[in-house]
Amino acid sequence: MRRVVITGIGVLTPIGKSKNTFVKALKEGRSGVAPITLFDTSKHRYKLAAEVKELNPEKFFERKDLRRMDRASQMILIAAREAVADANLDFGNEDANRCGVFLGTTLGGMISGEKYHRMAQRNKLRLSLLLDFAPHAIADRVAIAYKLQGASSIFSTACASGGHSIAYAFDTLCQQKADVMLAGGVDTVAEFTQAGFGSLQTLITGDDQIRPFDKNRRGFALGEGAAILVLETEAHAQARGAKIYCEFGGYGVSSDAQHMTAPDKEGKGAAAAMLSALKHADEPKENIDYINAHGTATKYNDLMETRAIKRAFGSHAYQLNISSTKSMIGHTLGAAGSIELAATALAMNHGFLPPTIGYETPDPECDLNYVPNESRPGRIRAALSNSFGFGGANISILIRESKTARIHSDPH
Amino acid sequence: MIPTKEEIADKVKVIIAERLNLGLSPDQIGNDQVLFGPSEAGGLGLDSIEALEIVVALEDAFGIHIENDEGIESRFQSVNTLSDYVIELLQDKASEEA
Amino acid sequence: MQTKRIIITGVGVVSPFGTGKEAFINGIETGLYCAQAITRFATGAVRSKEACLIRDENLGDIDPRLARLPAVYRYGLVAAEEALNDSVINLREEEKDRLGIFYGTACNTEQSVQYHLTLTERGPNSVSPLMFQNTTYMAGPGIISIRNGITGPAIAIPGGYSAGLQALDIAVSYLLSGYIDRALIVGAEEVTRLQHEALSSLKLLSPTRNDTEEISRPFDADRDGMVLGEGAGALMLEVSGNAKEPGKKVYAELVGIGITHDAYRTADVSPDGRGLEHSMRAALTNADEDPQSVDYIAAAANSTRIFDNAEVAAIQKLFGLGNKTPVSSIKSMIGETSAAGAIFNVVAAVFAIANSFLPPTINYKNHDPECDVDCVPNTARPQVVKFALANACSFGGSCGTVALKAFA
Repeated sequence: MRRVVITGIGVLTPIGKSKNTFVKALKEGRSGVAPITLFDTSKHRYKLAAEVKELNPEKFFERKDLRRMDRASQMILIAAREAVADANLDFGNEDANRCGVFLGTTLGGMISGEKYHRMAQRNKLRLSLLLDFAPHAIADRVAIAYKLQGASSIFSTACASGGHSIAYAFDTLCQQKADVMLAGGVDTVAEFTQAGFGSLQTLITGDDQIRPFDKNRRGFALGEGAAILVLETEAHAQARGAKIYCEFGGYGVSSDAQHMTAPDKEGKGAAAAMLSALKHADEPKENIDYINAHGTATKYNDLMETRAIKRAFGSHAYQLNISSTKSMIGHTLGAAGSIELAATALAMNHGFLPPTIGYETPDPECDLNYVPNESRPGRIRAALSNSFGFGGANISILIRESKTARIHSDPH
Repeated sequence: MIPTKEEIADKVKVIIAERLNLGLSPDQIGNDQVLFGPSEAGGLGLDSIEALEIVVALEDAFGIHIENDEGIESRFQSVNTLSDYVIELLQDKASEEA
Repeated sequence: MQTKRIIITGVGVVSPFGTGKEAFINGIETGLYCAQAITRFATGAVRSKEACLIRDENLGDIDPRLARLPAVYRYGLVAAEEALNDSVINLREEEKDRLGIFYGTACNTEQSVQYHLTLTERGPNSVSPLMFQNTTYMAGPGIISIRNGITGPAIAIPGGYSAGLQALDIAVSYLLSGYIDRALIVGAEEVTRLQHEALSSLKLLSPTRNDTEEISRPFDADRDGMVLGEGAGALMLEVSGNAKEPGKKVYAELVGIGITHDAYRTADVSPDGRGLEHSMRAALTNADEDPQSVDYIAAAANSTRIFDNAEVAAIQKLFGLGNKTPVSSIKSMIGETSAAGAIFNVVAAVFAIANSFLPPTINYKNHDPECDVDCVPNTARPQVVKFALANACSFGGSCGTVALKAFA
């Protein structure tokens, strides 16, 4: 059986701009939600988001290159840099035709696109803004930066995008079509999305917090960020002496087929995805110690997800530790599946359970264990990371302790 | 009334400075400076996308059409050669309309 | 390909030739040129005034609720349902979670531009709650899934012009892994004013000049840019052996696929054509065949120097200089249809095999020594085609090739 492992992680998040600062923030239960600074919110009803603070791209890129790089491109390349270094990977030693990149995004270079439209309305055509507008530009940039000539694709399944991309990297490696894959996701805080989600009334306002599973939950704040994971077969990793975080066990997918913006209340699709992940990874449900929930803190999602977990796990649902990292980093859309999988892998590696912050009042209909407010030390033998997207795209990814190889651990 | 070469050159430099986000003011661009040459050799270091930006801006500013023909590169050598080209196109346009 | 064999059991097309695959086959057999004056939006100062657009009235009876959907979703839905109904008379409930939808597209909808305008002109609080549904890439496959109750995986791949083949590759992977039994692959695109204006500014569209008209003429010595097109192509794929229904038709077998990237420059294509060279080689290796056995190549060439020259370079590298394997571009007839074009090329190759003919490259008048290929000029040629390749290439460097054979 061909095993696939994660050998490198790079992240850029609202609570930590590197892997180590992210882990620290997760342990401390920090919130990245604050008043938006990336655009003028005076006309917006909803003014909060979880931004990546002080990105300072000039520290990473030459001015000449920055001239036409969207924020999304900047973030994904910064995350890629950390991931590749973390994996101690030199693509010069690899067959370029057997390396590629799969990324999830919902917006691509939306910020550049917004600028382009604003200027085009004033009859000023700024072509360079268009170069990064198309979503595939972010994958192109990573492929070009590391000279990857294998398959590169963008997955856009709304909130599940960052999960689908990594899952496909896993498939590609299992089918021997590649040796090393970079996989992850990115999305930025943009006016377009803030307005769009605002009109759906799923965003928090004022002094409120993101409170997944809480009785008084009122929705989320948008977040931004990027994550890239390095995946390779276990054999390839061992051959080059790479350190290993964990094994990518498998995944499950399904669609609700119901409505573009509301999930199936009974959670049948979500349950099916989780059961499928367990089946494909050949992992007994009792071995799951932790679920990183989709957990958007909307009335519907959290109820649906709780029901889905009970459907899938039966009585073991009450033994599970479940938390929503969106309580800390907001909803990072296309990046969510990737950042959250990275958080799960890091939690497994460091032996702790990330918290669901903002949890004040239990909801009798959501009565599972959500690791309220404070992280806890704990062993995670196997975990699921869930993403249930708009349009009903559901994915659940299973990772587990690597049975045979050396564990990747930095002193922290 | 066709503008003078000096007027055109000034306009070209404003276009380059403003549109390309180079961090330069128009008077920091030399009229004979090689636009597409590497900055280490004293050029402005522009590339093909920036060439297109300039084309769009010039077409807008002067109401001309610039064809992507053979020999276009020599026209884009410097602010001076570009200004000469704009004058040619304006003269062509004037005689067509006459 | 591995132990499992992948077959095409359904085809759906909404193209500038008309709605349905019959119109498409007829179009490529007769060499019909589809470009017409653009009336859908004002072209203003843009010097390219023609495109190969879909006429709404040709989409047939559409549920009035769908009439206000962005055009690209309508095209995708109609093509997908044609392919679905072509392949399966009655999809049973218990089969619906074993069908996946893989949807490739390049650009966003015309409506998304409207939302940007609303945002700028009237402010964020007047943005409609429908905005999401009309601009999220997920809406393409989502609508097909919702309207047909399909609960298997549904994925959108906004991957540029080669997205249709990327979607195909992902579908094949899901089939081989056993997550699904059937896969619906869609490549869909609509021509938007933004695209048209931007590509024209980038000097990539064929312009109207004093002495010549704008025209799509891949490989021709006087080619000077693309003419845009739109539509949707859909394929139903299955694993052979699962095809239990009596009277099931199989259009062709997918015997190889290669998806690559040329890692050259953003928004550009490497002039040495290495992206296509590698994807063709990968597809051939996959199919366990040599270049000599290829009877036809459905080209990515789209009447730009960038694409046409790169593809010729790739072919010459792989097949040998002066090689005369027929390679034609249906983009000469329907324009550059972006992500839809990738699937249209597969459909063209499928029917070349099924109907024993080579689709032509029309509008071909002058040989270009730099494109020294047999491009099947102007008229379709009767020819037995046993093994064909379909290519796709994207600005940015993502390329793909699919290898097809008659199913035996």
